[in-house]
Amino acid sequence: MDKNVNVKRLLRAMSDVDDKYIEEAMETSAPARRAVTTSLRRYSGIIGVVAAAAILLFIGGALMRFMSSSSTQSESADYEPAAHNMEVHSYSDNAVAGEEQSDSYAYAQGGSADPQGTTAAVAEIEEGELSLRDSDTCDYMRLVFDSLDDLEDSAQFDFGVPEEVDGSTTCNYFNYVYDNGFNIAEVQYLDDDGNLICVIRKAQGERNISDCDDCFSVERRVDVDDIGTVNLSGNNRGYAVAYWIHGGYSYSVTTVEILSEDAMLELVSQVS
Amino acid sequence: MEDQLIIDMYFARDEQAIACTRDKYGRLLRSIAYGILKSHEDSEECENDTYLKTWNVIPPTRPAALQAFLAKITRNLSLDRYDQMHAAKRGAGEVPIMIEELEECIADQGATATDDETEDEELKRILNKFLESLPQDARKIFMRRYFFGDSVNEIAERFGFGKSKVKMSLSRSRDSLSVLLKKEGYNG
Repeated sequence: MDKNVNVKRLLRAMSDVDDKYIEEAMETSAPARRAVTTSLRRYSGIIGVVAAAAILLFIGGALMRFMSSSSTQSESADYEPAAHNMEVHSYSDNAVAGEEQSDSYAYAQGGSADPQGTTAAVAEIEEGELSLRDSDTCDYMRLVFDSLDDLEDSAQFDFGVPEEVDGSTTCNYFNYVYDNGFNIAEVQYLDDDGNLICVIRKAQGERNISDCDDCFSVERRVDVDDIGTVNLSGNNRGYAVAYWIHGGYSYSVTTVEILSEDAMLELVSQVS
Repeated sequence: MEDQLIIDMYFARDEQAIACTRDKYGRLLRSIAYGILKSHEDSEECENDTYLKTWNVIPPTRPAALQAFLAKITRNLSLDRYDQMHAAKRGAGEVPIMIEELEECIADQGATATDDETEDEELKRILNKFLESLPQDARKIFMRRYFFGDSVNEIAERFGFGKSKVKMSLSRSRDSLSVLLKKEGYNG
């Protein structure tokens, strides 16, 4: 019998496995957020050491300045932000290294976020361009955060998003950091079962960060007050992707469900 | 609404059963179909076909687990549609990748069973035995990949695992399946 036929038969036979295995696989661990916590916990020791070193550096610097008769209060104040910055940068660097070690993550299709398709999708950078392709080799790190505030701190820009979208109960906060300095902030909205509903992204610069390039048959441009031109992609029933550029930033909204134009633009209006 | 109540509505030929099924499981069914077909339109058609088929088989069938029952129907309808769409050539989506991955489990010289039905029953028995033997995490990863058609990244997201862990788990599971299939004489 042909090997390919046998493989397809095996795939088909998967449909007949015991129900208990199907139901078990539909259970969801707390998505991504758990991974983040684990990742940060794993490097908490390193983070602590770096933070302690930064504090010592700050105290040492301040002490030396104090001991030199020429020091002034304003000079010692200059050290405080420097020490603070050092701590923050070290923290980020370690978190990034941690993700790479555990995953060497190439965020693709996803997912589920796949969002591709629907949603979360895949981001890969090749020669400075975003690509739709899944890849194991793209050179970027993913940072996961427990809150929007933390995500904004990491991305170093404000990110206005709705607290929830229709049907969502949970949010995940991701920051994709590329080795050329480019970074994408992403908020994922999931339902009770961990299924992805919507992905909203923001990045500095002007490019399509939706991961959707000719992925739908219908495309339309709409002028929206206070935003400018919004590009919509979908089919004859509505739209699943919106992306636009405003104020030097790129934005995208991707939904798993096809939305009406009004519903999609309502979502767009909540992003800043 | 409780699954049992929905099933009772099917038995009473109450068309609200379909609306209740859609409300409760529509998103799940579309996500299963989408995992295989990567097309919104086709996924929605498979979802609707699932309701029709469910309406036609309940009664007399009374599913023990409605969720799994619906998932199986959607998966099979999606694979049927995939085959129709890609009869002449391999297409996009996860299916060709899944086939490629599973090829390593199957030898060129094929099955020993003599008729399709017997062979399918035998495969089902082997797969259940294989799944039973896996640790829970590995089993969930395997099912997400080869039942639901999730990508490695989607699985990693869903369970909060690293991508490399998911890949490694799938590779080990395929090796185990290959050994079991040979041992059971499926692929000689």
